[in-house]
Amino acid sequence: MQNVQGVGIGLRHRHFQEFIEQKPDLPWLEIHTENFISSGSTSSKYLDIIRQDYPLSAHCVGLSLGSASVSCPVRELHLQKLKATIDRLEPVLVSDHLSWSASDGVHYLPDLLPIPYTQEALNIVTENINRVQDVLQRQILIENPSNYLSYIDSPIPEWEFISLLAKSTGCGILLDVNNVYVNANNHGFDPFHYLKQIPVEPVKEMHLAGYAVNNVEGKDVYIDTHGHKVVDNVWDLYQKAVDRFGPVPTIIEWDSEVPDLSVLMKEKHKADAIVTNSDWYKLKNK
Amino acid sequence: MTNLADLQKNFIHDCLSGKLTDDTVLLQNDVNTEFISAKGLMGIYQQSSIANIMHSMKLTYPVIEKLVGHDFFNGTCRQFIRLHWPITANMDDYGFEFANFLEEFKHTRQITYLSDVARLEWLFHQSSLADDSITIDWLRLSQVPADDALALKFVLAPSVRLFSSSFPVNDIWQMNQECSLDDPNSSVNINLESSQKVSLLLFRKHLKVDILVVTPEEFALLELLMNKQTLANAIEVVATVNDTCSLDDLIQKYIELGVICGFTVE
Repeated sequence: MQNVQGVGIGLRHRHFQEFIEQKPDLPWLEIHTENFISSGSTSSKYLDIIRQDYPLSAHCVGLSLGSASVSCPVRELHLQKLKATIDRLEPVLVSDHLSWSASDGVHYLPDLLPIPYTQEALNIVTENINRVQDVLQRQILIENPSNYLSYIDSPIPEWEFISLLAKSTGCGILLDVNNVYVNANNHGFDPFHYLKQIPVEPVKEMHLAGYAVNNVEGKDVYIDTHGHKVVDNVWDLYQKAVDRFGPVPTIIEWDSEVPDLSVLMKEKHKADAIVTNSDWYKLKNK
Repeated sequence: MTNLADLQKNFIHDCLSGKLTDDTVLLQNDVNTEFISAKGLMGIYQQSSIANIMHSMKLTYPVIEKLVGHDFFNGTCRQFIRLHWPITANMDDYGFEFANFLEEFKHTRQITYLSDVARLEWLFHQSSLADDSITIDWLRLSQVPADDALALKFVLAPSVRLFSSSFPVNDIWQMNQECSLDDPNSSVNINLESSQKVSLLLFRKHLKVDILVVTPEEFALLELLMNKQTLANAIEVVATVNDTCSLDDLIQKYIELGVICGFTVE
């Protein structure tokens, strides 16, 4: 299997043609797996061409790893579809979020919904990750989510919850640096402390994206929109993350009002520069 | 603390069941409301989840959106979503019931052609996502013994969809494509009162879904083949629609178009 290194971007529909015609210099690309479930669709046809030149990471949004019911039919059906898609696309990495979308075995909300960080939820997510890894026959990475609410009964800190999952299931961690920053502002913790609590070894990928700030009842709520450039504070946090975790493969995400490819390439080069200025890089090249 | 299963059930209810008020939010005893009320917090998720569902509806029903206008479409979708919560993680599968909804919805039921346009868009959407087909094996077909020919069952390409309507939905659909909307000379009069039934064949060739108008006998033939009927049955039924039509020519035409992509012999 191929390996991926360096900073890539999320492949979006509006750039398909440019990728085919110009083959921009990127080490790898990430797709939203759910957009390519149908092998006959136009998007899949484009991807079949593009993936000849770029290693892929398959980033999922629908596995609903936090759903209470392990035998949740709507999730099981989706898992089978994703397995077929992943087998077909042969991605280097497969990931989804520490969140839930499916409830009572039937209904499904297309959003990444927050989990209360309790022992009950930890047991459930552990079982669900084991189930997914068994079916896919591979390790998956779990992304720390962006959350806009917290639960009254949620005694385990998120960093501890995700670290325990990595330990108990052998899953990797996809560290979304923007989400750490967004949650730190929404829930009042120190984002640098969060990074220090995450074990180094399981972190196999990082995400960078932009956020927006909405005013709800007079309070600022940081929303992970994937619709803006990465902000300076998140770049600073990324610098610290690279110092701690090394130059793990990183993706620039941009999903709403997707700009010209040149804008994403500038963000990628900014991330590249942070990696080459990192403590890790300096130590290696001493 | 509510157990996780009930908490999740309440969460989805709060997001999809309509207007949130302080009294209706089921999660108000579970979420931290130190700075923002439960209604405000759930409103963030309600907005984003409904926006995600509407995004998928817009991709599936772009002509309906053009016909009724952006704001009316959004309002109609909100009402639709309240009645039809997603039951799939693959949003490509969501929205099948929209045509029936438009038929019943009090603000659209008098626009009688609208639900058929929605049905056509749903079939177009399905066709665009269907699996690829293979090309028919001409050599194998030519080797079928003459005695077995009547027992042949032709296989249609996975992207084939058939639709008939009492309205000129194909013209309405065509007039609302980007290329037509950008062309000031492309306007035509569509007579919605004409009671002529239109029969349509949809199928995907390479990356493009075509919508072709077919004759009643062609439609009858394709419908029979779709229902896995034998050639013998097809001959019998098509003759009742048009006894002068050449079935050989039609089969040949649809094999060449790629609409027929295989066969079995009973």
